[in-house]
Amino acid sequence: MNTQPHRELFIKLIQENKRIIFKICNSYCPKREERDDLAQEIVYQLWKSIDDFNPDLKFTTWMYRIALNVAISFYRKDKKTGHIISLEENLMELKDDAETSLETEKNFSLMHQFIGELKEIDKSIVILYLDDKNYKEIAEITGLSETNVSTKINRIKETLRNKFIHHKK
Amino acid sequence: MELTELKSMWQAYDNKLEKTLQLNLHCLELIQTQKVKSKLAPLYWQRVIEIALHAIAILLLLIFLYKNFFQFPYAVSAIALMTFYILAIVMCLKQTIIIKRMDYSNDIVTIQSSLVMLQTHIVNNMRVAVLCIPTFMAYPIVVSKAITDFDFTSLAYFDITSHYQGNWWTVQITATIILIPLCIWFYRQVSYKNIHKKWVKHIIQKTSGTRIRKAIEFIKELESLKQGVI
Repeated sequence: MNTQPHRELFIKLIQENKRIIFKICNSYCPKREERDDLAQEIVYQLWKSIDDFNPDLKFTTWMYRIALNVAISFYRKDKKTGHIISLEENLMELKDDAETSLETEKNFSLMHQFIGELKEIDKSIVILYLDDKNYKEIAEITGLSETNVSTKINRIKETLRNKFIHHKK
Repeated sequence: MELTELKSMWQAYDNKLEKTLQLNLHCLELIQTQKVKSKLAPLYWQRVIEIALHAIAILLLLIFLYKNFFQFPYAVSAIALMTFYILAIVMCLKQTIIIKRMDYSNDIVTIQSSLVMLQTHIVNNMRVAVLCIPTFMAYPIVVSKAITDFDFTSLAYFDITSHYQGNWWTVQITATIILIPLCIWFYRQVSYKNIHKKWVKHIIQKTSGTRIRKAIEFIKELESLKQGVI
């Protein structure tokens, strides 16, 4: 997988799906300075695993599995271990966006705060749910049964509703 | 706010990212050329080093055993110590196999369960160390003989207190008999399955920090999911 056409194909795939990686990093890493480390770790694992890509899986299913597994493991690691990856630039950057209102930005930040407060596995489920994955796909990515996914989503809905109600008060 | 509203907000956020998110291709190329190190890789080498150190200890003990094979106290002490080093190597080998077989493209439950098992290694080491306590006298016996050729068991008729003309072996055997069930009990108790017990939680946290607690909570959550508790 180290040939030029393969590398270009990989870059194309990451380019097309960069939002998935960014959203996962944003949900699992509250600290901005650690977010890019996580993004790099995810891309590194994707690149390392691409040779073993199972064509029976959809590319996004495979990508979600790796990205979420890395995010959960990264989230749990001791932060005091420091930065092992020593890239000086950031892998992902957000351009200035004048179109988004302050109010919308506030809502985005609130949304991230509430998702960030969920348990590790719940975060994965909610990200997949919000990204329009059906129960079958969520079950395939998480390894839970569809029934468990459905129960979990109902619980998460309840938790999030309570959080918003509490926030409004 | 309902989850449906959250969903539309998420969609709006996704649209925003589509317009504003930029990928740094130079960084991506560096990652592809493997010029960056994974944060998760050192774990494998930690275990390999542990295996190497344990193997050296076993080798030294084998030499010691060969030289003192027919001297009962030394042979028994060396075998006791070797047993625990072998146990430690088996534990480390299991972990290196898990690490080598770790495929992040497996589902989350499978991978995270394996990772939790890896992360509880430090707790398992502590449990095995406790299990070694009944053989605590094997160390001074072997080390004093190997380094200074001092016969530790010659203290067999040492007056331990003025009230007790003790036989050293009697004291050691009695202590060992008392310690074995205690240590086995401790070994069984200090497990993530008993994390609900305050003292177990305290010991695990003191040994390995909050990272393990998080990992253990995660695996308990997964187990409850499998059993349909949640």
